[in-house]
Amino acid sequence: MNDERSFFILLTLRMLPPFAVVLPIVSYWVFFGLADTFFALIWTYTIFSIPLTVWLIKGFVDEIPKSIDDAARVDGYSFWRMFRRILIPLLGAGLAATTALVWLFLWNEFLFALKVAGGNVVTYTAHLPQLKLGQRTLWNVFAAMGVIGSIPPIIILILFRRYIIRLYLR
Amino acid sequence: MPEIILQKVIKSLNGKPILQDIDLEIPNRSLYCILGPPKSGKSMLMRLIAGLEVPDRGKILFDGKDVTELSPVERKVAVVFQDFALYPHLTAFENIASPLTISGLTKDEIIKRVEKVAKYLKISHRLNHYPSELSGGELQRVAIARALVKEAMVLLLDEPFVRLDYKVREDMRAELYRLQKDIGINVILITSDPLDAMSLGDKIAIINEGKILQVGDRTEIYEKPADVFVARYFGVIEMNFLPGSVYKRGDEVLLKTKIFELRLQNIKKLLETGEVLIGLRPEHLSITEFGKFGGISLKGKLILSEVIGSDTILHLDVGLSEPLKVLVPEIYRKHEGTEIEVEFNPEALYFFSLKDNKLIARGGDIIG
Repeated sequence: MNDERSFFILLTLRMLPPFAVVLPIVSYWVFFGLADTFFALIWTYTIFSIPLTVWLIKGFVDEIPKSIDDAARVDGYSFWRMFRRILIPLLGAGLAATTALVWLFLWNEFLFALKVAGGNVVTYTAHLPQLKLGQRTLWNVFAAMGVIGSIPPIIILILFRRYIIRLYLR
Repeated sequence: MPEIILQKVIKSLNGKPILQDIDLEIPNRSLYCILGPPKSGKSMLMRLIAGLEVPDRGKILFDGKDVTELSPVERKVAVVFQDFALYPHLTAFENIASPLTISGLTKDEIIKRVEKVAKYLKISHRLNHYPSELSGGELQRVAIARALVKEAMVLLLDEPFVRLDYKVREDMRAELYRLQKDIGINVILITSDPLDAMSLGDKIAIINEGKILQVGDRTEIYEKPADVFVARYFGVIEMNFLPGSVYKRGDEVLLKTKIFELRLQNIKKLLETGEVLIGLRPEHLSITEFGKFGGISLKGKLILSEVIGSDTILHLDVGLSEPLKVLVPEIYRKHEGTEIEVEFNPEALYFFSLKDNKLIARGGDIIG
């Protein structure tokens, strides 16, 4: 099946460990003169989240009965109208869960944050290794950042818990 | 309210043939039943008529106009799906109104039409509820309302009663009948339940393995089933079958089976075949103790008496490989192993060819 093959190719993006691809990616951004910018980090993250996002959302789309699609065609919906009026509302919970999950992964992401950015643009994970002054590690600051850094995911998890549980139950 | 004609329609899916050479004529303003077991291709037939699929070959005509390539909206068809396919995030009102909203009617007109159809289907009080809050029967009514509101020419129903309880099913059958007679549109009912077809269909087409086996009204199909499959399928209780052979002895032609013998007339076709398959409907057998009428009688040991409502199905061991089923129109309970005598009128027999499974004759035609 063509669908399955393209889906598989998409998923292979995730098969290599990030270590294997981080160096070429950094050299790309250096080549374009965009290394260590928000732009570079955002695009890297976006592209690397696509497989997971597609996989999760495909699951939610598959849950919608085919007959809904047929009914919409019989009712006279055009493709885009059906997408907007039927599909998106029905996917609401799934989109929320996926957003939350992808956000959590990226919030905790370290390697790309450190290598693609990490100088001018620093995420909280990439900031942690910088908390060393010579031989001394600033454990107090380290611990404080750990606490602060875990507040947003906790808030997200509480807000989206209903959807995320559904996602794991699937 | 078009007359629908399918000409030599062929459809396959992923290289697997689903429908082969379908020719069908669905008359104006009729309640037409397409009856077939699961996976027989009847749903695909529905989708082709609805315009949800395009045939690989062949034509579909509505009132003589070729609609093969037209969309469901252009064909003015409405469909009620097996799972109702209501939009779960919209209320009953919004669901019913959805085809109208798209066609761009004014708000007042939409409200007027939705309320009219809701009143007709007795769901006016449930219009503000979401599908998840409605019962099976109500969901079905909403689905039918959504189909009716756009004043389509053809209403297709795909196994509409499968998801309903027994009692609601009866109500909805009656409702569908009333609706078709009231509005006079073409209603095409796709079903795997012979009971639906028998109680509703003005005309019935029986389909199996992608082929139309027989088209006719219910008496025609019941009295003259085209082949063994139709005979087995089209009945309240499955027909009994037993092998028999036809041979000549002197001037007489006889039919011999394991359990009875008969003298035959008019047997040219039967003699050619020699071996035949004999069908006998459970409802054509009666218990001798309730009154003899002089038919052929058989004795058998009771294996099971299955009471269904006010009827009983007896399974009798008469020495055949399978038990003989007898429909008794009352509650009749006896101990297992009791010997019971039943009789039948040989004119009610069905004779099928063993070669191609086709009906050769009814008992009435060939019994002297």
